[in-house]
Amino acid sequence: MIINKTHRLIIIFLPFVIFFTSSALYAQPKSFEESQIKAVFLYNLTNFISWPPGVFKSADPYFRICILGNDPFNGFLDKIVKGEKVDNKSIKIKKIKATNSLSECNILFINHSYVKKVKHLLGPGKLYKILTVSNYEDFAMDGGMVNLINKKGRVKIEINADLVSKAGFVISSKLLKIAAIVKANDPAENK
Amino acid sequence: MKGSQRSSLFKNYKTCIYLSCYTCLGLIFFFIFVSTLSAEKTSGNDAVQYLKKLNLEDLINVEVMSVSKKSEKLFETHAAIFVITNEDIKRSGATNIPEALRMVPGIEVAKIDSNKWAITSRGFSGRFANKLLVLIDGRSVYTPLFSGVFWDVQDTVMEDIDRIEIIRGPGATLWGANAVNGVINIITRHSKKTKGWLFSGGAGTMEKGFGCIRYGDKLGDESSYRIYAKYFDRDNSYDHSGNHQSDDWHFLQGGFRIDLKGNDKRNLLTFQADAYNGKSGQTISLPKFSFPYSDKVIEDAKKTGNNVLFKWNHIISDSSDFAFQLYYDQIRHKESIIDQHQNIFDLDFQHKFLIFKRHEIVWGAGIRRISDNLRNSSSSVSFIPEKMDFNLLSVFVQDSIKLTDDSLRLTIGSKFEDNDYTGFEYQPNIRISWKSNDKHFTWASVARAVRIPSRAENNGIIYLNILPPNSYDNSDNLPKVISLYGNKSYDSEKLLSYEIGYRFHPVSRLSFDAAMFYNKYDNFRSGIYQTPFFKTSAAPNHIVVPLIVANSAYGKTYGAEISVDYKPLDKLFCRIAYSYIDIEINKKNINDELLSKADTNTPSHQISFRSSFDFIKNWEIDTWVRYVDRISYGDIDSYITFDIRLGWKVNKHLEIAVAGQNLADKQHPEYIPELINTSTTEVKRSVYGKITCFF
Repeated sequence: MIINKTHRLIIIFLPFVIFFTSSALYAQPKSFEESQIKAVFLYNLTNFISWPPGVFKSADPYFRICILGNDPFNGFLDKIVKGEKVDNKSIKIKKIKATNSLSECNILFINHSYVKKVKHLLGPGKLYKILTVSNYEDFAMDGGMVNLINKKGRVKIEINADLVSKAGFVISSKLLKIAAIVKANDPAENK
Repeated sequence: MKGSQRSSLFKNYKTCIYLSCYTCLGLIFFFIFVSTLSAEKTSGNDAVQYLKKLNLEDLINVEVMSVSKKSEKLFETHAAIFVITNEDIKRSGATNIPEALRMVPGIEVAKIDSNKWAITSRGFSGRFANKLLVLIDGRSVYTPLFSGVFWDVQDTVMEDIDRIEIIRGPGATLWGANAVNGVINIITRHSKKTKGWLFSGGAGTMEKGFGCIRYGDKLGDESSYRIYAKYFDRDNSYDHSGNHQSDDWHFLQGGFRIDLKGNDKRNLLTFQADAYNGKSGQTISLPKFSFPYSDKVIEDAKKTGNNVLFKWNHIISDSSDFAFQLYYDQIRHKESIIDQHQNIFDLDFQHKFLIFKRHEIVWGAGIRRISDNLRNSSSSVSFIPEKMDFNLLSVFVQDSIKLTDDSLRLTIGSKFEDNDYTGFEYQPNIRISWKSNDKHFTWASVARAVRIPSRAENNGIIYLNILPPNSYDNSDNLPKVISLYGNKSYDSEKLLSYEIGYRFHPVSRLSFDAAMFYNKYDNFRSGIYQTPFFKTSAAPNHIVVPLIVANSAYGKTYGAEISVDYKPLDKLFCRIAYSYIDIEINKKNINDELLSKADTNTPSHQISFRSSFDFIKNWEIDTWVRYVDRISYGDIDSYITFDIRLGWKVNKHLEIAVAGQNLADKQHPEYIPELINTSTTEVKRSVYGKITCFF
């Protein structure tokens, strides 16, 4: 009877062990984490947007993507940009805590929880030649340039095209085609 | 000599079983982590390759793995919370609420017979387990009569349950007295989610037949309603030697729910009502003063009841709202030991608002009035007076403060109550939580909670046992009755509880939740023996040994609960729950009695392992393995058992399922009834089939 009990245990638990091992071998997710998809979008911006002329003339060997606030990508962005170059400059991810070291950033990603703190920096002509990107609901309307948001289980991209082109960036038509073009809330209009 | 050898050998075998059990579990955990690590690694790198190759058009169509708002909210709850979803209920194969609760860490569920359960949170189990509060859509179903919950009349359409939220540990600040060791909130779906026809029905070996009909529809643009009826018939169970006990159970319930939304979308009204009529079979041994000193009564306890609930929710602004709830609950339960009529009237108000940007204040007040009429149908249970009114007033306030932007949160609050038995009670709580980033969440809490006396503890008399004359325990010539007397000066039981918890959510496929607690009880319930006296008024003459309810015990419990959710594949979900508890209750005086065997009626270890696998399109297979440690009260052995369910979604209108429950052995005991001697039965292996149609 006791042997039966042990056998029973093995019989009960064996399928689970098999499940786990097999799942480890065949894990092939069809859906991805939101942050992973956003990280790829962020990287893709470097391929579909041209920076204003003169930006890359300096001797600086790096193209910098700065992340302000908590890093929502959990290191996934680092994997994406590994070995990639923009205009012959290696892409470097820089996590910044304060807004005083922005000058060397080419892309500034502001995590959603940090957007309200840096609102004064957004808008036309404020951040010189830096592409601002966030994952905050109304970012593109509130003076940001590019916003990556989850809409009904898909990551969508919003671009404040006016602002981006006024700052001297050129957006490829491929990117414009899939993006939602957003206009900034003009404080003058609200009056 | 031989006997002792055999028993030591047996012990060794037992150790072997435990060892292999733990090894198996260890292996499972090991595999989980190894496979997660490797899965992450491959899927991480694969994902980089895969996603980078996609063009923009494809990229905007990649599906985001869903992490619902609910689970995000759950992650940031600073209490030991566990949620059973509608899907969990379906996939578990549970046909009633008690069975579904078996998956919850820290909750002990034991079946006493076909229609009775011993369910508790963090220790002190029993049919009359008194430290767990249960609410259905905000209506308390905790009986103030015996304390505890009559699980055989707590039912609704299982498909219409949205979720069951279980909070272990004291929730008294918000929920009030008796939420000492936990609160179970059974929440049914909003009627806008239950539109159309639902027919479900089935039968099996234990389930002789069950069926339900529900219909729901819109009422205008924003409002909706549903109406339902259900019935089931469950079979007798068997005792240890295979004799069937008359504990068959029939139950009919019907009800409706209407949800109205004002045109301004600021006013939400809910109106709901249920009524039931059940027959719960039981065999009771009633003490008797002449030979054979006990009477076996085989009967159907007739249980009827109804309730109406009205709720008004008003949204003042984005950050402020109030709710006003009124309910009336009426029960009549008639059985040989007692015929109880009870009416509860309850009114609650709750207001929530934000102030000074960082403070979220919730405050509220409530009034409850319980009127009962307990016709003493037998001498073994009686109440003086027969009719009584009991009032409870309460006020609470709680402030939740964001200390730093997102990460640190402090909650302080207290409930203040006034009741007819013990007067003023306060139940404060302080909680702090820290979310270091999206992956780690830590919380801690200190709380005080009280359990106010039940009617039986205040003024009931229960004959526990009769000792025949000239027997082993009784050298007198007259029968002796051990009789439990309620005590008007019996005070509430007090708890001081310390808890810490930690949640870890490394990737969306794996999450980990752990909680630890240390509970210190004071004024704990006990019984004190008084001088025996002769009773000659009621024939025949006998000796009464009075045991008076008192607060002469104290003690502590500590323990931990861990649950791990793991989704190795999109189609495979696994959940492990482990609970541990250690109970130590001391009596101030060696001659005192611990009622309901409070210190030995709970298993120390429990493990539940559930997996849901959609192995082929539209086919589901679910397995559920449970281990429950031995219970020293009643000498109940530890057991391992498992359930399997196979489901087939034929099309969007039809689902067919077959489920086997308690398959590991022919039958096993789970609990011996305490206080009231109903017959002891065992849980047997069973199978049922079920068809569900939606239109």
